[in-house]
Amino acid sequence: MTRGQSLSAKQLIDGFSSYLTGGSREPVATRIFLKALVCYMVIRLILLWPVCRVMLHYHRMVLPGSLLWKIILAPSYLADQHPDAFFVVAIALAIVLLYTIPHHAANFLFCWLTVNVYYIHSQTGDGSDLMLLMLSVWCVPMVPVSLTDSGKPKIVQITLFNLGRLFCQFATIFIYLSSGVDKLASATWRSGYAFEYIRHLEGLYNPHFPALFQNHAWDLVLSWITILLELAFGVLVWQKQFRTTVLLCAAVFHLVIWWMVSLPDFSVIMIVSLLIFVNDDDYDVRAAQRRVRRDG
Amino acid sequence: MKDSLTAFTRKVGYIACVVVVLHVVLALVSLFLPRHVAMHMPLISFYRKMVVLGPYFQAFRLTSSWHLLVSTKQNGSWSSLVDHTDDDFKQYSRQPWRYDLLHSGDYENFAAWEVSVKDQKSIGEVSAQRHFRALNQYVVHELIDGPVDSVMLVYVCHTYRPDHKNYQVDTLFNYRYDPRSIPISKAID
Repeated sequence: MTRGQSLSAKQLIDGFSSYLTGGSREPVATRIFLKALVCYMVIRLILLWPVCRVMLHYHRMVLPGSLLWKIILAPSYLADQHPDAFFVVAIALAIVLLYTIPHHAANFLFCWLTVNVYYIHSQTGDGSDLMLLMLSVWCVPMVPVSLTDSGKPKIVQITLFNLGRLFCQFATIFIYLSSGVDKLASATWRSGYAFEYIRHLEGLYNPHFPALFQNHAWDLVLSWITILLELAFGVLVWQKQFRTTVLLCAAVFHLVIWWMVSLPDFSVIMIVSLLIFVNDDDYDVRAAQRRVRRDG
Repeated sequence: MKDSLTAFTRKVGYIACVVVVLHVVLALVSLFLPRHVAMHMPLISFYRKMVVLGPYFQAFRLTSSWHLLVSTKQNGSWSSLVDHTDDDFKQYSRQPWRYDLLHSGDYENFAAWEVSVKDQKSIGEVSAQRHFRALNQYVVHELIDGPVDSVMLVYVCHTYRPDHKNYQVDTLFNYRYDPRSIPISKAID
């Protein structure tokens, strides 16, 4: 019994170890995810420009004292003095990164840019800024093309790529899990009253959201759909037969959040984060279906 | 040579497995450990703030909304209180492509909140605060048309009460002052 258990544990570890070292996983899907993230950044910078310009006009930014942080946050110094110059350079850099071949340096630059945008917007930022920052950190080692042919560096590159990919997936799962656990522990959410509160949240709830859903029965149904989706996501997304369905459900869930409570930034970054769960095969299937339709 | 590479791959694989397991364990501990315990453990606290994001839409955050109301005094009479952020949000609801309207009040809300959390009651005390100075500059330049004699800033919290189907209104601060008497926060053109 003990011998069998230890054998299976060893097999599990060896299997997982091979998964992490035996080739870059889903390189096409990962590349699309990285591009989507940079694309989100470009749009976000364009939209944040007028908002941050006003804020930086009045707000005296407190910059850290240490030399390392001064170097890291050098672009924020620029933004504090010349917001327009910062946004022009940042948007240009993000567009260049969108068309650059995958490289650790490009990913690092993206992360650096994200850290600075997070810092500049931190006074008035929301969860989407933090999510983008964390994903950009895990993306640094994610280079889906082989930069070297020599043995050991190649193994290290592949492993770091797979770790980065896995940590991006964990980041999304942990958001759902922490939100699901919190809601399950909350009587307000379990009873459905959370949605009644949301409906009366001035400055957030969309007054044009259909009145059809504005009764306690719907509140209860929507509350439990939210709780179950958030708790089940981390389990179902690894199951091949449920993966596509749960990803679609999560995407619809975020679109409804966008519509209902006017949080476009958060909804879009969460939808982008779902792309890290898509496999290369999924894109091939879509392409094959398009070919079939096109060719009749 | 090949054996050496295989051994290296295995070693890297095992190290990666340990990193993944440590990451997941730290994340789960930070998720389930009570906040007052986690805050005394730097690594867990870091994970809670920066790695395990959320939870979002917590119940206590859904109950209240904050509003900055602005009134001005000209020729001896006060104008009615205006909630500019609420007006902008209503316009955004009709024109969802106007992203700037959605975030137009973010800064004034941030500054007003920072002013409200400090225990300073008089206008003399509060005018020394950089957030109040910034808020005053913002209000004067962005929300008010033309010079005024005095400004009234009222910051209120609306808490919805499901049992009564109404809002409880709490005033967090109420200041009337001459905006020219407040030192500037940041030199602007």
